[in-house]
Amino acid sequence: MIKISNNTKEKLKWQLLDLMYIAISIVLALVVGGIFMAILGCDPIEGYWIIFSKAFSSFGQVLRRSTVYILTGLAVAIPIKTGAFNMGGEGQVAAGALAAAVIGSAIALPMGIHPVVCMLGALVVGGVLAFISAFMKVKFGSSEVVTGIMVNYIVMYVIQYLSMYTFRGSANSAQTAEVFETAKIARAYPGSQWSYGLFISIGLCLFFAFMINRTRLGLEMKSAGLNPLASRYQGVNTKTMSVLAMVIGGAMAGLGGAVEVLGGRYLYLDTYFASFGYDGIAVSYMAANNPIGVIITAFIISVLKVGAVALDRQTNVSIHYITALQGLIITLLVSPYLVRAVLERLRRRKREAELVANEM
Amino acid sequence: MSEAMISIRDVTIRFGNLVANDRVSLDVEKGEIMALLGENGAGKSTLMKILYGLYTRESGEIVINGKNMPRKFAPLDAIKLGVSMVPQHFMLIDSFTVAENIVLGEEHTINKVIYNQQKAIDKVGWCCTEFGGIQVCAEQKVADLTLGAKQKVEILKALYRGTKVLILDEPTTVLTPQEVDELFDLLRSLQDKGITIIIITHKLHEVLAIANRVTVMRLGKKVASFETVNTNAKELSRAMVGKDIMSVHVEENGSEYQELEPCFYLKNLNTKPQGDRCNLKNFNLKLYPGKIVGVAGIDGNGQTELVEVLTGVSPLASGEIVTGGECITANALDNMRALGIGVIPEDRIEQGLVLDLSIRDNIIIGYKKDKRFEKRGILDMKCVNQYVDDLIKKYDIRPARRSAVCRFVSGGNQQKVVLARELERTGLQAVVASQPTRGLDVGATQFTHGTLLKLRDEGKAVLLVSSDLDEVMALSDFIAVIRNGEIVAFKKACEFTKDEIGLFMGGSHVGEVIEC
Repeated sequence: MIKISNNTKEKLKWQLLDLMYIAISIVLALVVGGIFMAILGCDPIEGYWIIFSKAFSSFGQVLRRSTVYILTGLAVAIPIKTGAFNMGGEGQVAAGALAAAVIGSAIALPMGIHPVVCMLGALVVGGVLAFISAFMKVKFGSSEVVTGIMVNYIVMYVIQYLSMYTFRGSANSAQTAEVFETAKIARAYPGSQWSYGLFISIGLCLFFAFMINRTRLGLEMKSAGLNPLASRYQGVNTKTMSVLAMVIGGAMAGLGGAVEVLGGRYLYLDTYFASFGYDGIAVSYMAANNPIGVIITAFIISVLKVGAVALDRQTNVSIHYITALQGLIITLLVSPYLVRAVLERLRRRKREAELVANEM
Repeated sequence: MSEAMISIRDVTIRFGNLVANDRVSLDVEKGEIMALLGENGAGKSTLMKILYGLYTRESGEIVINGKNMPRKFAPLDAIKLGVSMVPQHFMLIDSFTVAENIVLGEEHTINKVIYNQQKAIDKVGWCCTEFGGIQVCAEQKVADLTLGAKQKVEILKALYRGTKVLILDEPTTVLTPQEVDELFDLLRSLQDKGITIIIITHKLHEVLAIANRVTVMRLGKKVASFETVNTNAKELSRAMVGKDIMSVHVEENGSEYQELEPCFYLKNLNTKPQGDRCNLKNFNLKLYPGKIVGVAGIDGNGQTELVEVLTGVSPLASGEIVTGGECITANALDNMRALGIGVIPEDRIEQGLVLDLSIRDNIIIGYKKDKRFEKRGILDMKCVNQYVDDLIKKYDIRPARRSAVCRFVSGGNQQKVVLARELERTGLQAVVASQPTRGLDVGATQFTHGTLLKLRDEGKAVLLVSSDLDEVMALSDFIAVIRNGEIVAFKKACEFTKDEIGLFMGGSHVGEVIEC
């Protein structure tokens, strides 16, 4: 028998409540999404069946996508602990991917070391891009959301140029050359979609969960985000925390791009990495910015994304339907009062019913 | 027998699981001054907010001036029936003149379309004389007024709208003793004009000084109602707290300060001006081991800045802090902590605690680089938990769970968390306690006072900054009065009278500044 202390019980209760909110939001979104599907002329039950059966049959693809989503989710979840919002994931993923592809295809390095160097390159590139927004925030007070979006535009067009001209490796499309065998991350089994990169992603989630809950740095980051003034009274340098968390976030997004290049696509293809960064926001929000939760929500988003391809092909519901559904889930999640109001109302009705019963 | 102006019957309201008002009934007669007495969280303000239409009651009846109020009504409905509220934190527009503030929302009573400043000023002036004794200059900007004058503007605003019932929420917390007297005179003259007044307060002597009747609330319930002529402070406090309170007994521990060796000397401190905050100007103060130095003053006269300098949050522009042969000019946080100063900030919610973190995290955040609890940045949870559990026991923090999130802990226990963290620092030399009992109930206040006295007896230097003059006078060995970022008087506590301190606080007594 495992003895559960009161402490853990309390904690578990809160976490379960959090989970319930998330679950209710997802279910509500699926219901509303079903109505949309019906309007578009597709039986919702059949539609969802197509999505989930496709996701099941292409499970490897779901895991491959999850690998990237976990990292772009972390890219948002870590900075938000300090109150900073990493909006630049989109550019950081693409830049990290290009950096990994270039290092992987242009420099010869021995097996084992090569992928590590590629990933380090991506970490640095992603981190530097995030640093720009973070620095401008603490130095000039500019909103990191706005600068993040602007940096995204700059990065996307610069790397488009780079992939078209400087590092072009194919005559037909804007893409780099394939990375050397030495730089590749091994796939789980021959012919599988997903690679050992997934374990890197999950490992990092565990690492950051440890960092946030068990180290001085994590504690200071959290407290800087929750109450900057009180944190300064305790000697926490809130600006440093915010910059550091942003840089970590940017590095994670960059790594996300690198892992997909080294373990999936094997080259950088222009526009292939679009929307990974923005989807990371959804992943993080759905997980209530919890590093462990990110693993689960990245998986859910991947299922929907992979399933959407089949939905698009087999019915007249467009692939963009999933993006709308994702938006719906987030809207429900960020309006906690909506779900809470529903719960509160139910509870009150129950109480009134009890009162009436008692009086009778 | 006079008729009832306000009649509240069995009003109940809850917030989540908390029953804030439990079948409370209250009758206020026309033209009387009724005091609503209770500790913080007793439900006084909540009841008045229901009466004013800010909260919607769950059950019960409210009758205002003979009119039965529906369950849901807006403040505007209450205002129309002549009920008005002077909030604890004034809702005035600083950049407007007094007249503009008063007629705001009622401009149509002056001119239909075009606003006429002169007419407004005239009308406000007329209003002042009508209600006798209110002296405000209608043309002055509100930003230039003292807090006492701002309060008068708020009252005038209500009178201008033809109020019949005036609700004042903790009206005396920001006033000097002289201003309190003035306010009470004004209220009495309003009573003569037939206006009904309800005062929300937790101060016993004020109740006895001004009210005709007093209703005591405790934990959301009405516990008793007294005619003030038939009661006394002891009876009221017993009703308020539910048990007898022992007053803090302070023993004088001798010796003149001239003979004492100060352990901290704050010398000519100056802070950089920040916005419209009051900065310290040539601030001088000495702290003595085993003595409590109380700093009295009206809020916003540099107390916050003083505490921030001693915490290390606000950098010094010039000046030095001398202690044990050391002389510090750069008051960075780490330097100040190294001196062994524990700081209890004035606002435990904004400055003292990170409300969404647990008790444990809030305590441990203060022990940066403490080898006992961390190795290379990784927290030793076993040590941390043990330490925190010990403190929870020592300071009797409830709930006695280290994982309890501070937001859901009562105010008194939140303060205990701050005390535990700040007072258990290794090498503690001095304690800076700013408004340490603000918003606390009687029990927690006693605990905090007891803790400060114990520190004094252990030979620590204590700096007590408080706008509660009674608190400063009860605890301090020496009293310094702060005004505009300067110390304007410093004496042994027993040599000061309350009136004298009040005069220094208000700035009308400047002649005999005693060098400290």
